[in-house]
Parts: sequence; structure tokens; C-alpha cells
Amino acid sequence: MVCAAAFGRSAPSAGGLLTSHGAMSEPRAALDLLFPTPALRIDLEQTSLGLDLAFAGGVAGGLFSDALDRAPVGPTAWKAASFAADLFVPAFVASCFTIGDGQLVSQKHLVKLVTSPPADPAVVLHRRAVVDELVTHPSRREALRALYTDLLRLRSMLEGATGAGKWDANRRQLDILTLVKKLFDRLAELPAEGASSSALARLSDYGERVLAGEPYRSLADLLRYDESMATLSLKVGIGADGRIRGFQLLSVEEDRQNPFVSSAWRRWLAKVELFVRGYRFGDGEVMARLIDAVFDGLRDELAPLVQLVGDLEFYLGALGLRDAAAARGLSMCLPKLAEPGEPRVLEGLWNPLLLASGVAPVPCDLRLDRHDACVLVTGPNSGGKTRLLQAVGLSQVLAQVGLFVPARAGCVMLGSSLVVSLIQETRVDQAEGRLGMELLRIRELFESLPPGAMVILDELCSGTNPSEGEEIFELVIRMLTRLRPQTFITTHFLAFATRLEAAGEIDELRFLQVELDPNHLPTYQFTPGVAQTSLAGKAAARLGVTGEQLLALIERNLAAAEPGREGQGRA
Amino acid sequence: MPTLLVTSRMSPALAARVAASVTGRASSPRSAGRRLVALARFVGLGFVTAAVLSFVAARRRAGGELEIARAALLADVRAHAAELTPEQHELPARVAPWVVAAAADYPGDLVEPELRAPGALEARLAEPIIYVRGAQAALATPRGVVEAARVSAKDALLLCLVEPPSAPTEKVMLGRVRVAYTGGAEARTPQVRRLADAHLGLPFLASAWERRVVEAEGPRELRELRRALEKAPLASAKAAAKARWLLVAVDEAGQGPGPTEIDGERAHAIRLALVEVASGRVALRLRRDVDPSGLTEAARVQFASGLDACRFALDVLGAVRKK
Repeated sequence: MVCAAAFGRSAPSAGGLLTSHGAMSEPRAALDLLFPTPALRIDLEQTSLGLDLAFAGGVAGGLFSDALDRAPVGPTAWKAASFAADLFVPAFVASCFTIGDGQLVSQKHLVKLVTSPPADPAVVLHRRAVVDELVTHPSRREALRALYTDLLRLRSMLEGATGAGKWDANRRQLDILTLVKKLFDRLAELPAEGASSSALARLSDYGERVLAGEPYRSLADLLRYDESMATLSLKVGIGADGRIRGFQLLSVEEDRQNPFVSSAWRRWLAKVELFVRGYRFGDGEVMARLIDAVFDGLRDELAPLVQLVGDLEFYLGALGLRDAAAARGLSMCLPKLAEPGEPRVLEGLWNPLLLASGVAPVPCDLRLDRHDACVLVTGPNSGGKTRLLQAVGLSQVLAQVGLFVPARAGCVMLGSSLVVSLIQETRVDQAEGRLGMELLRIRELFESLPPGAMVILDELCSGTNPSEGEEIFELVIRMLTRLRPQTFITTHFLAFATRLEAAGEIDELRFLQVELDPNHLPTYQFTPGVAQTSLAGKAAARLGVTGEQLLALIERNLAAAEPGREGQGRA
Repeated sequence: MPTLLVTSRMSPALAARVAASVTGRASSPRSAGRRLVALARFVGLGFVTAAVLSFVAARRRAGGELEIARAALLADVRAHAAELTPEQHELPARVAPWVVAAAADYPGDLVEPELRAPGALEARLAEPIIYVRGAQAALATPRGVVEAARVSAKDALLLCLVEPPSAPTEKVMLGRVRVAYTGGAEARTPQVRRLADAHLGLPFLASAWERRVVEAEGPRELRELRRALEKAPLASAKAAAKARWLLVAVDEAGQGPGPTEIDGERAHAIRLALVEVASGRVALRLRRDVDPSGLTEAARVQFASGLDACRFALDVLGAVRKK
């Protein structure tokens, strides 16, 4: 069960939250779209204080993003450090989770969500239900989008009040309150429980609860008071030249039912009272006090809206990626969640990092008879092996957080962890050479790898001579199988891979090779088996590293260094 | 703490938040700063309130003093006015037509039979009288009467009429004339008041002037009214208003192209009328010519007018006594 206490917060186990007044505030926590048991994950006290400051003077820049950045994202067994950088998750989120043309309020929060798959599968199912409802009912997605847009406007009005002194502070606050009312109205208009099959019903419940409360009624009364405290009926006299010559007041009607309306003398005395109490003398000060009182009643209802921004970015961002893929003819799906022993299937799998960089991904099909296989991927350089590993890794990540995977259809088993080693960078402060660093990574992998995890390794043991590297390679494979992980490893040790395939000593081993067309060019598809060549020569020729090409470069450099040499040669 | 921003239609929760918004959080530094401002404003407001209250109290005190002064002035005016009957208050208006009539076409001499009795005229002239003398042209209109009365003084004609010289000789008459010329007529004719006295003093006892007192807006205006009342000849005005007889002397225009004396005297006719104020009845009306040409050179230069007036008075007395 996911609960607020499990998030490391001082909250009751029911998923509600203790307010500063000491009262239980269960309904506020209901504005949580990410977890089956609703929780208020943001720091309520800090956020409320920030809202106070922002409302008072717009001096809380970064209120929303700070609150979301600091918010925990639930218990997870995954370590982001083990895979996030190698899979370029921050860049993936930044470029692929788009909502319109705007920037995300908290990319950090979203990266944390994506790199922290929930430990409880119920959370995954909970999120998949929300995603499924949004896909099934486009109108609800549009309603959420409108809600998100208004939340961004609220954020902009609260945080972006620089130069607010140049205009009426009361007007700014009334504009904010008008938008707040609109937000609550929007929430209440969303499908209620019964009509909605997912956690989206919580939004409607929350909205209706707020609408039924005294603070909302006071808000509506105040806005009505601001709009039409009284109605004057005028008769306008027009002269023969068409100009207005005079006004005649026919009647004055005051909204006597409005609790904020008082008689003229009482309003005047109220101004005197405020003056004596140390405020300025004026109607604006009276209105400021009333605005304060109304906002004070709403403050606790507003903080959950900050959390809602993060939740909406999670779902709307994922839907934005799905839209972008569809625009390029690529499909995404909610994969079937497989049990151990079921085949792994990812049909039409594509790499979203390629989509983000403007390259058209070529979908491929990945079918394996079991999830706990150790897959050795071989093939020519630039044949798409590493891209395949990235696609598999990101698919696993997205499936684990309850979102679409970049595939037309799929069957994916949830893993207990993910370890990815795709980048082999040399760092200034590294203590070992390339092989040494690789061996250290292997050591770290075995130190913390739980059973049933996914392991993705690119060109294992490529930093030493093949014969010795193959020994370590085989050792690693044999040890890994004891933990029954889902393993994908690329290698150019083709002879070694062929030997392993032929020997058939390790049951979990499976082999995929890059498919080549008749011209020996990669099709970016993968077929069972071990590649016969890495086609390094072709890659060298494609990149200009043949003997002739290198000789031409040397000649050019010599000619540039000795200007007379070329002329002498001709002579 | 209750606040005027809370209305009865607010829910208790909203009302509590509005009150909290006004009072602020006790621990916030901003709230502490505002409390200091509030304290300063409270003290300032206290000072302002005290100043306003002091001002209002001073105004009320000043207003009270003003009303006291007004009441005192009104009391004085009303006390003076109460000494006169309504008819007496209107004496100037009542006698003006009689003066104009005396200056109009002369209907002939008239002497009431009672006046012819020995000592009757003297007794009549001992009663309260208002006296006016003017040129016939000046006395032709009520407005002219007012102007003429302003310059009409107790002269030799009045003095010789009330206190006749023992002989109609120039030397004897000159004694009376000198007295008149030196202002001695006032002391010798206390029962006679000038019509001008009524014109000058009676307006201060009229309702219009009383209204000015009532409507006076400030102590300064009231002080000025008080000063004006104190300077007004109220005693002589009241005496004039109580007169029983009106004595009018009308100087007709000069006759012929004869010479004019240095003091403006020349041969002309003088009319004298004695009218009962209560009824308007004319008790005496006489017209006699005067001519300074018969006077000695020395007397004529300086006293022609007075001697002619005195001679006219003797002629009147003589005409009344003659049966």
C-alpha cells in the first residue's frame, strides 16, 4: 500500500494529512492521480507559505517547481543512477514529454517519476487505468489539458508578478481569485465516480467538495461583490449635436443578499477603523482585508493544486509523446504485463531518442520465448544494436511507471531493477584503465543486483584482448543466469558467441543478430542467430578510413606544409 | 475583536477570518509595526478629537455669551420702546403730512378762540411740543421735511415765542436773539423738542432695528449695535414722541428784488402753525411779513434773521391777544 507515511512524511496512514490546525484533512489528499491511496506528496506547510507570499506580492518565484522538485515520488526498488544517465532519461523527458509548446513546470519532478518505478504493481495498474481512460475519452484529456493550462496561468499570475507595484495589487489578487474559482469549477465539471473508471474521478470529487464549502461560497460572493456591488440605472440625455448632455440617475440597486455588501456609512466607518488600526484609509484597504479573509479560507485547498500540476505533466506529457509518435507514423501502447516465463514481445519497437533527435526510427519486432533470457546481440557496427538496447531499456522504464511503451504491441514483465551500461566514457578522475573500469562496473552490478532485474550491457569486455575478455564475458553470463535477470548484451566477440550458441550449455542464452540486406547493409531488424561479420571494413569505408582515403589525407597535409612540393612534382 | 467589516450575513467562519485579517497575526513583525502605527494614529486621533471638542465647546460658550448679550440688548431696546405708545412710535410719519400742509397753499389765518384767553397761548406753549422750521420749498415733501428737520434748531423765533421780550424794540429783542444764537434756547425751552430728535432716535426703538439685533450673527456685530444704541438720542427722541403739539414755522420765499442781508435774511413772509398731535387739529395758523430793512445797520449785519424771527414771534403773540 502506498501511503503518505511510506513517502517519509509525517502523515497518517490513511493517506490523508495532518494540517497545521491539527485537523485531519483527508479530502485534500484526494487530489492525487498517481497513487491508488491518495497522498499529499508536496510539503504542505512550505507550499502554503509560498502561496501566501506569492499571493501577497508575487515574491515566490519558483514556488510550483520548487515544491514539485522536492516532492517524493513514492517507494521504488530502482536506482536511477544505474540506468538514467546511460539511457539519457533526462534528455528523453525534456524532449519527448511535451505539452503543447510550453515548458514543463518541473522537469526534475517528471524525471524522478520516470526513473522511480513504483515498487507496488498496483500503482502501475492505477496509472495505466488513468492513461487508458484518457486515450479512450479524448474529451476528458482535453478537459485535463484546459485544467493544466489554467493551472499554468495561476502559476504565472502567482509567481510572475514582477513590477506588480505598477498596478493595483487588489486587482491582481482578484484576478487570481477569479482564476482559482474557475479552476475549482473545472474540477467539479470533470466526470464523477461512476462515469470515470480511474482516479480521474478524484478531481471531480475534490471540486464538488470545495464547491460545497464555505470558503468557495465566500469566494463567489466576493467576486460578485467586486463585479456588481450595486446597479445604477441611468437615463442619458443626448443633445441635438449627438453629444451627451447629461445623466439622470433612475435607480440604485444594491445586492443586499451578498454578505460583503454593507451600507455606505458602514463602509466609511470601516475605513476609519482600518486607519486607526494602522492601515491606509481607503476603499482599497477594505477590499484588501476582505480578499485576505477569503484567500485565507482557500489556502489549504490551493496547495494540492500545485501537486496536481506535476501529476498532469506526467500523464499529459506521456500523451504528448504518443501524439508526436503518431504524427511520425509510430505507435505506442500500454503493454500487457507478463508473468515470469511468458514470452517477451515488443512488436514495432522503436527508439524514442531517435524521434527526439529528428531521425526517423525504424521499428523492429522483438520476440523472445522467455523474459529471463540472456540475449546476446551481434552485428555490424552502426547496425542499430545500441539503439535496440536503448529502446528496450526505455520501454522497460516506461512500462514500469505505467505509461505507453514505444511499440505497437507488447508483453513486458515488470523487473525488480534495471542496470544499464551503454556509455564508456573516460573520466579525468577514474582510478583504473578502460578494462579496470569495466570490471568495477561488473563488480558493482553483482553487489546490488536483485533477482529478476533487467541488465543491459553494451560491448562487454571490449577493453582487453579478445581471448581474455571472452573468459570474463562467459564468467559474467554464467553468474548472471543464477539471478534470472532479463539481460541484453551486445558484443563483437563473434567467434565466442558462435561457440556459445553451438555449445548450448547455458539454457537462458538467446542470440539476436542484425539483419543485413543483399548489399550487406543493416535493415535495423533483428533475427535469431549470431552475425558472421562486424563489417568493420564497410564501416571504415563509410567513414573514410580505408588505406587510399587515409593516404590522400596524408598527401594533402604534406602539400599544405611544403607549398613548393606540389609544383616541383609537376615539373 | 469585532470589526465593522463583518456583516450579519457573513458565515461565522468568514467573519472570523475577516476579523483575523483586520487584527493581523500577533507574532508577525509587520503586525507589530502596524500596531505602532495604530497607536500613533490613535493618539493623534485623540488629540484631534480633543481639539475639535474644545473648539466646539468654545463655540458653544461663545454662542451662549452672544445670546446673553443679544438678550440684554433686546431687553434694553424693548424697555425703551415700552415707554411709548404705538402712536408715539409713529410720530414722525404722522406729523409729516401736517408739516407739508403748513407749507402748502396758505388758507388764511386761524386762531382758536381758547387761545385768545389771557395766558392761554403761554400755557399751551408750556406743554410738550415738537418744533420744526424750514423753507417753504424744503417742506413741500415728507422727505424734505426730514432734511429740514435735521438742520432746524431751537432759534430766536421759538425762544421769543415761549419767552417773549418785554418790548418790541431792537435792543430788547437783541437780548433774546443773542441767547438763541449762543445756544441758550435749549435750557430755556426744555418742553420743546426738535422734530429731528424723533427722526434720529425713534428708529432705534422700531421693530426693524430690533430684528437687526435678533439677526446679528456675531459678537462683533452685536457690539456695534450696542454702541449705536448707546449713542442714539433716545431720551430726547422719547420726549419728542410724547409731544402734544407740533409747532411749524415756514419761511416763504423772499419777496421782490430787494437786498439780502449777510446772514441771508431778506424781506419775506413767515407762517406759524400749531397742530394738536393727538388729533391733527390746527389750533393756530398765522402768516406775517418780516423785513430787516428797518433794523439798524449794526444789528442787521449780524442778527437780521434772528431779529426778524423774534419780531415775528411778537407779532404772533400780538395777533393772538388781539380780539
